[in-house]
Amino acid sequence: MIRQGDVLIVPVAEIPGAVRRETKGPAVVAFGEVTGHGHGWDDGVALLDAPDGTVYVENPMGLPLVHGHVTASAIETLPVVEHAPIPAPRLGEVRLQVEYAEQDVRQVMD
Amino acid sequence: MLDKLPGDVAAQLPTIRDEWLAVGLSTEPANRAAAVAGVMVTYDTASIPRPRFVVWLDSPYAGAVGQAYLAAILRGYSGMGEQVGDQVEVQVRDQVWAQVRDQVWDQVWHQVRAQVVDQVRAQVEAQVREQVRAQVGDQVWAQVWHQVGEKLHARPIGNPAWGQHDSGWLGFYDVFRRCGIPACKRLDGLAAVARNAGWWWPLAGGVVLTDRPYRIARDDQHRLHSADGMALEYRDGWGIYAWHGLRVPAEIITANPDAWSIETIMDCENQEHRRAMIERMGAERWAAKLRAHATPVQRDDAGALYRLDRAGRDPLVFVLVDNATPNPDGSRKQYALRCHHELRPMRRFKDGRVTFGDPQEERAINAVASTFGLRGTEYLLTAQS
Repeated sequence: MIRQGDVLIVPVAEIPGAVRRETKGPAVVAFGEVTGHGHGWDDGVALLDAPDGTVYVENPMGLPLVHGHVTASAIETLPVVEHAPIPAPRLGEVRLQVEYAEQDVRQVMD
Repeated sequence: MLDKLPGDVAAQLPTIRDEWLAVGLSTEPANRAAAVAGVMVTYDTASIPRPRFVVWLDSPYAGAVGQAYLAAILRGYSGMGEQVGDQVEVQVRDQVWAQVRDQVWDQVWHQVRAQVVDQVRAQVEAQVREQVRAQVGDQVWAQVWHQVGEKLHARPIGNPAWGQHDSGWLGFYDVFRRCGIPACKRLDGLAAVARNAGWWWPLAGGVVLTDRPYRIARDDQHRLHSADGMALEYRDGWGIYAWHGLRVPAEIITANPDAWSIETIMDCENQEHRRAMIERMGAERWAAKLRAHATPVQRDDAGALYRLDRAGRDPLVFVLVDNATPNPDGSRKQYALRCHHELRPMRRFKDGRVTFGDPQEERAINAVASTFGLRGTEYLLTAQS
């Protein structure tokens, strides 16, 4: 499994019963509202949603996961790199980091 | 076909780059007459009747709200007021792009991008314009839009031209203008506004222009940053507090960090804001607070685990982790992640369901794994950044 900041991608052998997400522009798996930065791929990667809410990635070319400023058409490299590109599995489950919040669990926000 | 830059233009590239950087980062008051003259030229270039109403406001936020009202007034008054930014800027830019692209070899195109545009875009667009856009968008949405819905306009901030913050791409074509490519003259109006004003909103029948900022403070990486006030401030008092490029609430900059307890910091929901609070407090004071109030539980390659005992409540357990990718100076950002006090693996699903796994031994790797819904024994990274 690989980790880039608050995103973990766990390799899987197959993707069970998930529906391919229709995306325009980059496939973004995590986005920071405050920073405007996100983790994902410019193109060539599909995101799939399972009925239980789990998100999977189908990355047939094994493209690296990148982090940068998210625009409508690309994830642009930041002038000061915060997370370097990282090799990613061809099939994987996306896990976003969470935190404890007094009896509750919330997604890590940035 | 331009297969190489004329010698004098090639020699000027650093100067042209610096000129447009200065445009993008200027804090001089707007030159209103020159900016309005530029606006009229842009309307002429786009073959749109010149605006009759010219309104000046002091900041992009004021402009975003003001343009919505001017558009509504113009609609009621004359049936005009629609956004014409696409015609005035985007279409003209695209036409010029097509014409210049046909006349310039790839090598020259990329040379100008590398030597002029990339740095201006990185410093002006990425570091300033996008921060302003995000802040204006957030505030207009939060303070105005939820009340008036789409009565004023479909898009919260309308369709602005970025004025001085367009300096990246305008600088690019300025090079080719100096090479004598005639199509670039179609950008003269936009360049005049950029050299003399901030954001502006071209409307049918009217225009809203805004001033440039009063102050820009940046760190050595050219990111918005100020430890003693707004990093970007306009003359009406609107602006942005920023910590090394990160927009933060005012209190993170204005409050006395000595007053922050570990709980205060851990209660901040945004982990980047939390990091900024710790950095503002400073490594020594943060370490002193940890020594005084928290128990160091265990440390390993994954991080350092701490526990803060609280009377009558579950302990506050958190793990300090270093970012895997170092900063340019070799240091690493440090994040504080709150965990379940028994390090139970936590998951939150899209439908709001929350699950907790079984308790784990108090180890930092178990704590980090738990934030991804895993046990420490399952958290087997092959790579991280």
